[in-house]
Amino acid sequence: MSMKVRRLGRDTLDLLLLIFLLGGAVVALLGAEFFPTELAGTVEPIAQGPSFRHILGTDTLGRDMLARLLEGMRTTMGVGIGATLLAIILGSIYGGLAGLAGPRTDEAMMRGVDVGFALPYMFLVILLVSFFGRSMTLLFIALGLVAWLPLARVVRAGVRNLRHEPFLEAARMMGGSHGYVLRAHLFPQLGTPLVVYATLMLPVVMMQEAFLSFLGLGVKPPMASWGTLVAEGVERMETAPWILIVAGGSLALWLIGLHLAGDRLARRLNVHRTTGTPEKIMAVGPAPDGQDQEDGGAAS
Amino acid sequence: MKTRPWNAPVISLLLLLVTAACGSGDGTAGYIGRVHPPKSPVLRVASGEDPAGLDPTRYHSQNAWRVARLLFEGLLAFTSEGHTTPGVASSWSADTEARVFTFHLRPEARWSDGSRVRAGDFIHSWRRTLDPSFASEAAETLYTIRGARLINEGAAGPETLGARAVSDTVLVVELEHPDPGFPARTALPPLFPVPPQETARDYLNWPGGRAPIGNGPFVLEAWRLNDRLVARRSDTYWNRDAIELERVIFYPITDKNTTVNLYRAGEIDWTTANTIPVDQARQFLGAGASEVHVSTVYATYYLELNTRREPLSDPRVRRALELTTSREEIAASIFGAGHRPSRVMITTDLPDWTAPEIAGGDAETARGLLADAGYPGGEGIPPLIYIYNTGGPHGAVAEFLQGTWQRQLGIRIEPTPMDYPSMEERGRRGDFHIMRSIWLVDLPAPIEFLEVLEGGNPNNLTGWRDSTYDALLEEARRTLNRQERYALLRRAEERLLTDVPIIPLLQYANVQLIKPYVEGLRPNPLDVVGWAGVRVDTGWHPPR
Amino acid sequence: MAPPAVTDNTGEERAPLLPFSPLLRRRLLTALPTLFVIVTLTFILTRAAPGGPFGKEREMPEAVRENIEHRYGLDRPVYEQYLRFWGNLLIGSLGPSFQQPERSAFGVLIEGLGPSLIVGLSALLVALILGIGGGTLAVLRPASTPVVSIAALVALAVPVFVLGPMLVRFVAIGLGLLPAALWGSPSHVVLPALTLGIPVGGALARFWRAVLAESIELPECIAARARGLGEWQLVWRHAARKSLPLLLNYIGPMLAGLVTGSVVVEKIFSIPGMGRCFIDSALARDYPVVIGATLIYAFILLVVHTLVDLSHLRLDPRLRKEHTEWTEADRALRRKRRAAARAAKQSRGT
Repeated sequence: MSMKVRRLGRDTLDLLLLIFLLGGAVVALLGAEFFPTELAGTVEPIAQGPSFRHILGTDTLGRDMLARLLEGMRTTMGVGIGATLLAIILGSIYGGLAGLAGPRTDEAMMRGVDVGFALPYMFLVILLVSFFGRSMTLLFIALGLVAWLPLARVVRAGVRNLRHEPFLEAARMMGGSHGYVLRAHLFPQLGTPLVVYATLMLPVVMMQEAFLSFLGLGVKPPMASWGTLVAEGVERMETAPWILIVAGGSLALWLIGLHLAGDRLARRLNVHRTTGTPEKIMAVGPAPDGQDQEDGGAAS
Repeated sequence: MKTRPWNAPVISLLLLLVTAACGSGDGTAGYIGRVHPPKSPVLRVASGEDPAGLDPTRYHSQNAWRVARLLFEGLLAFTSEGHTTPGVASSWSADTEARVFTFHLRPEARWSDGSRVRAGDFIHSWRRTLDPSFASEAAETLYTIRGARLINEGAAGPETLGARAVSDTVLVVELEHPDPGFPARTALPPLFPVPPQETARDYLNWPGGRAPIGNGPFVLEAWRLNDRLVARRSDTYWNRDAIELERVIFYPITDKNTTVNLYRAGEIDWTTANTIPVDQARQFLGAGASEVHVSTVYATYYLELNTRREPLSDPRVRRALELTTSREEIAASIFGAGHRPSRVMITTDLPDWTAPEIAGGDAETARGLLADAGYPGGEGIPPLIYIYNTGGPHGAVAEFLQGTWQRQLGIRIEPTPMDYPSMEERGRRGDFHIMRSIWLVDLPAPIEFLEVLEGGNPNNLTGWRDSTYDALLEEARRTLNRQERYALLRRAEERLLTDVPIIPLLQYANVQLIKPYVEGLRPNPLDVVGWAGVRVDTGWHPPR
Repeated sequence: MAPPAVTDNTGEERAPLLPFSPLLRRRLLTALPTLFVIVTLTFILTRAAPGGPFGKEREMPEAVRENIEHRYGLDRPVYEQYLRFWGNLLIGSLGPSFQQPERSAFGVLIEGLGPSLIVGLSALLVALILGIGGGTLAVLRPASTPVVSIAALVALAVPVFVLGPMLVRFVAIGLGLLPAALWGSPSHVVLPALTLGIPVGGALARFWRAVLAESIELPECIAARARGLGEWQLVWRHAARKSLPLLLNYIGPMLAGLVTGSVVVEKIFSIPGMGRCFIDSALARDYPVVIGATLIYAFILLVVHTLVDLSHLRLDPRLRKEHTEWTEADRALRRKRRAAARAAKQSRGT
């Protein structure tokens, strides 16, 4: 009985979580349409605390904080999802090919990933964005390039585990190319873990966006992102604390929600059967000896 | 839930802690944060950014100059009020044309290794600064000396410089054109002497070597990049008795909020110009604390308009933008810490200077001008690219103007932030419509403001070139009589403001925090410090 | 211990060149291309970047600009600059810093390395204490799991640049307990280390909890529990030992988090470290320092990764055995393939 109650509680919590995340996304998507950000230079009072007219107060240029926040949410989610998608695409192709290739190509490709891990990525991103200006496209490409490496490992591990399944052997025996095998047989199988890893990756990418914003390398104004708003809030912590409270608080809540969702999804869908536990895979350190090779370079 | 007996005290303790943490510390009433004078006369300064180096003649930046003035001294020096005062030279005279100057050096002036500061040291130093292979970024400061430009361009030998040492104590300088203000120029670090015994050394690989030999009121004790620069009172400085500080410590703190935090915590005694956030400066000003010092600066914040590009090549469009620039709102809401809205280039604070009158107009006039130019309601105008560097208030200004111009004129602006070197490069290439600029003059002379827009001046990125304007400036340079000179300059400024290659926004101001136990620091428009007379009252306590 | 002997097909017995040589060989094979990629990539990035290392407050006359460009060799063709850079690098020099022309770029970086390492290692300590402590607690005391999970999530979700100013505001300014910023005494390290360590600790706690919970379900742990071993002992003697190698894997991401965060922390707390140096140099186009800093970071990553690999082999005798076996099998396979290829060639040839 008590077990059942707990389970029910869990399900309800998961549902609430889902509603929270989806609701946030919808609000971000549509809210910015209904409450568009005014251009600066209005007659509205600047840096004003919450009031009836402006529920969340105004920012330092007299713009409504609620509108800014909604716009910022949309930007950050856009950048985050874009970067994650890019990482998934790159990681899947690379990891999938490595997984299917012969041991030598596989080895070489995974050494390539090692080189990638040894690059101080965030520093290259900082250089890239500070040298070549700030655009949303550049931002999500740069962040996507940071995030694809662990995904390449996830996919490769999944493919390695699946490659001796009869349906794959059959597909290959019928003369299917690597590309065909990946597309038609492997990706459908790996879809579930990829969704889970994407969920776990998303908050990390969004945090990196905030980090770049603090360094003044975020999106281009007057566009706002969650990160730029939080950075602005930190800057005005003493004189306009509500900016930090509103922007920082909502960002933190959303990130916590995403992390939780990732955890729950991983547990529910049991992804570690295919690819190993998320914790181990997301531990994106050096290729731990024996992990890359656990199914043996010599197995085929 | 079971109540546990220890809950209450723990919770109340926690509450107490939280309450304490939310306060702004055990600040002394009426002051900002803690006020405890240091035990010895040491001045701790938040100085913004590390100087690029210690050589006074190589750099052109306020940070490098501040350190240079600590460790070196020129023929003349500045007082804390920003007036000139005798330095290495005890007296000087000019010929009737103000073209040839004779400086008499004090025989008691010494380098920190004990040797005398001689007239020849200046000649040596100036030639070195102008040497193309030395590549000083401040060489331009010397261009008023006859022959200097050609030497720096590599077209003439160093011996052609119009300066000679008659004896160890007499220095004669000849200028390109008359300039009664030249003695004040010798108080600028690029004209400071560097010790001849140090010339072989390029100061390279500091801190491997010794501290540099200087002739200023302080000598370097330690310098660690991004950490601190410590200078101790010199034993050889000719005016050492007037120096009351034992040590000066510069902390290069680049985060403005951190600077305020340290000041609140009582770990910093003085925050120099531009080191605290504008919003907090405004708050301190509003609270009326006695530690807040506002001073105008001889600097103008303005926008450069690219006159080579459509539609800004049309002066009517430029004028329309100028008329609808909401300076008052920008000054009040984005700066609001002593900054004053201004429609003119030359600061009105200069003694005896009156600005020319320029025709005003409202948004209606502006829209009319725009229609005359063939862009009714801003139609046909592409989005104008407004470039600025990130950090500071520039982004806010750009966004503010974006809103104003879009609403008033229907002209769309594309604020384009980038880092400083990128902006500099795009500015030089002319790849912009509008660019933010600040001009900070070295010396309090009106012509210093106008030279920026002279044709061929590297700082003029507008592409605007006006022969009448250039001729007026050239004539003003040759005019010795101050009233006549000012009249010429006023005509030049009027011409500039009528043709609008630039839109002046405001006259800059600095807000600085100085602890009540520090005496003798007076923020001034030139942002200089006279170290004689600065003291720290170690026995200070708040008045009851 | 003696290096494992390897017998190959020909029956000769020979010892590998080094203990764990295949591993080190692999690392080295990764290291060299990595360094090459980094130098080339950063070089290209810096040269392609707009603007140059020139004065910040006003424009210079053409002559002055040319003099400066000549001084730094920026007037030469890019390929020549690149080759010269390598030449310098091979003799261990980066040339003078552009931003600090009176210092060498290498000197600038070395000066910043000390504070960065001190803050980084202290933060690592903070992260380990919080992460291992929190994770273990959550596994052993199920009642505390929600608290630990939520604390860890909050630590993860608050950006470093928010946490830092908050700590300063409430601990340094409000309570007056610690210095608000600057550098010079052990007390100056506390707040930066906390700021940098807490988020990493949060991530680690989640990781450690998951890993530990998994190992505690292993048959040997269940058996040990059945023997009546106390929970703490169980964790200490069995589960932790099983999970330790996995923890090593986590050092990589921890390190990345610390290094990235250091940039912000050093700025907020005005610490004379390398992270701050890096950002300032990038913004001032101080190319030698930028490239040098990237190289040093890459080098640190490389060293840590190698150490992690070696510890893996030390910690886990099974892995060591597997490793040797794998190497052997791999060699055998390659040989077999080669032989097959030869045979195929010959058969085709005849």
